[in-house]
Amino acid sequence: MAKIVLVVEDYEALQKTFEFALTQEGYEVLVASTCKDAVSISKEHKPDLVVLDMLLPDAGGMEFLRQYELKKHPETKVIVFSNLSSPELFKEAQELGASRYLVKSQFTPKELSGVIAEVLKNK
Amino acid sequence: MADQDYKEYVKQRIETLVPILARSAVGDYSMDVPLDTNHDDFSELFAGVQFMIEAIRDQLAEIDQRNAELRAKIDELEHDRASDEALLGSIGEAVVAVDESGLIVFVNQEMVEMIKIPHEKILGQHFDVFVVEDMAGRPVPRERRALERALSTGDHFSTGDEYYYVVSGERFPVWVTASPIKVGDKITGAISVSRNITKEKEVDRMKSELVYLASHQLRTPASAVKSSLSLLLDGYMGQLQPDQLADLKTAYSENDYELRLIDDILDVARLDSKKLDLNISRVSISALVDKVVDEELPAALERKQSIQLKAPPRLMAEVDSDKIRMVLENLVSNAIKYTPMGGKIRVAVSAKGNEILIKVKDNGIGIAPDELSNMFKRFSRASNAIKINMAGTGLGLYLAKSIVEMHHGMIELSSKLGHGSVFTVRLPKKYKEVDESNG
Repeated sequence: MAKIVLVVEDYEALQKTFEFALTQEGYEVLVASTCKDAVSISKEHKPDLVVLDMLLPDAGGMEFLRQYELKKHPETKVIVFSNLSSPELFKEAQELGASRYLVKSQFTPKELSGVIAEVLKNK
Repeated sequence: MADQDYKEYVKQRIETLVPILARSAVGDYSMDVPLDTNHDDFSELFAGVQFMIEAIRDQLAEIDQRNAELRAKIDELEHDRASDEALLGSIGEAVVAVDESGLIVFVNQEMVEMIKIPHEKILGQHFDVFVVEDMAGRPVPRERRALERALSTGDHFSTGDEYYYVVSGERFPVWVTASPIKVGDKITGAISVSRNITKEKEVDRMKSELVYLASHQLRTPASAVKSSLSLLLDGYMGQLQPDQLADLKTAYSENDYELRLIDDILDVARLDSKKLDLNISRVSISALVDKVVDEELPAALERKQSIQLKAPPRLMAEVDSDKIRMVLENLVSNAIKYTPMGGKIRVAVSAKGNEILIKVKDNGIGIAPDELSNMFKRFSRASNAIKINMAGTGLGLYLAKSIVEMHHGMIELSSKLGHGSVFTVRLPKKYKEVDESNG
């Protein structure tokens, strides 16, 4: 069965390319543009992995990690994928259970897909 | 002469002299002694007294003359002092002057208004009467105060923007510049100028915030372009013709350059707003340098260059490894870019006392002597470098220097036009939290 990946990204052009590429890589891809949607989709579908942007229109990505209570969902891995980066954000995301923190502008969809495979392999 | 007549004569002569002496006794030397041609004892006495009176008159005239000269000098000094005070008073900046023991001998109206202590209560006090804190709100000890530094070292001293005056519980940033007052070689006091820089700091903060936000807004669409182009390049949309691929690669690398530029601007903005925090840990500098050289090797090989690395194992230092790696990547990739095909690049790590030295040496195009001092300034690029590579941002070396200085280290450059350059990064092995040299 295909692994489920939730892409949480409000910038439509990015959301579409990642959805397209990850579908091609064989994942079942769900998308969300807000923190609220991301939490409800995650609760319903229990994705294997969430690709999480930090700047969302209704709340920050950290809020998703808190609301979804990631640590209570060991079945779900999170890769933070954001253009916002600082040691503090990195640390906070890690403490809330995120597996990786990637700077968006430095990764192509293919490279992201590689990191997803790596994280899911260690699950 | 009969006795009676002589007595009369003596009496008369003495009576002539008495009023003259009496007036002389009270400082009036205006009367002359009548001289005669009797050629007796009195004649000599009278001549002697007259001579004395005239000598005293001459001396008095000379004293008067000197007094007049002194008065004129005092008037001149008084005028100079009044002009100096008027000058310092109207300078528009807060001025304080202290004597050699740090006691305040002068304050102008701006300082009185800034510090809100009445003029008469400031004079004669030690300059400690002004409460100064650093950025973190800790009191600045006397030996690190600008006036004390000027007094103890005899050099000019400027605090930078990290001093705060505390007046009636209110804190505001000040820039203090102090200079010694010297008479010959002796330091007789010091004078300081304090400027409230609240507005400047606010403008700086707003500027940095704006750049920070704008850069984020720019990064997102550029990231989207990167993703879309790489979908095509990575074959997600099917196979492309070689010329289509070539065009796409150009678009991709141009976009990547834009992203790098945005990253650099973002880093500079973070530096300016002090958001670029260091994540310090103890790392092997040798391993870090090794990694960077490894990464840059393909670019060097493409240009048929050789990179020689000399790094004794386990030279450790407390640094932010990501940031120092960025510095080294910048120096090594510059060496590759600005060294002709087939050139030689040498990277060497060594330890000296409490420091780790990293040298990046190339035999490339070098930098003209008159451009050397500008190389670490923002947006500054050597004119020969621009000819070779239009795409540089002019921020790399500025960032490198800022990052090394945040580690309380130094970056040095020596270069010979047409022969190559040597960049030396000096990093303290132990990171110290507070920079003692600052403020």
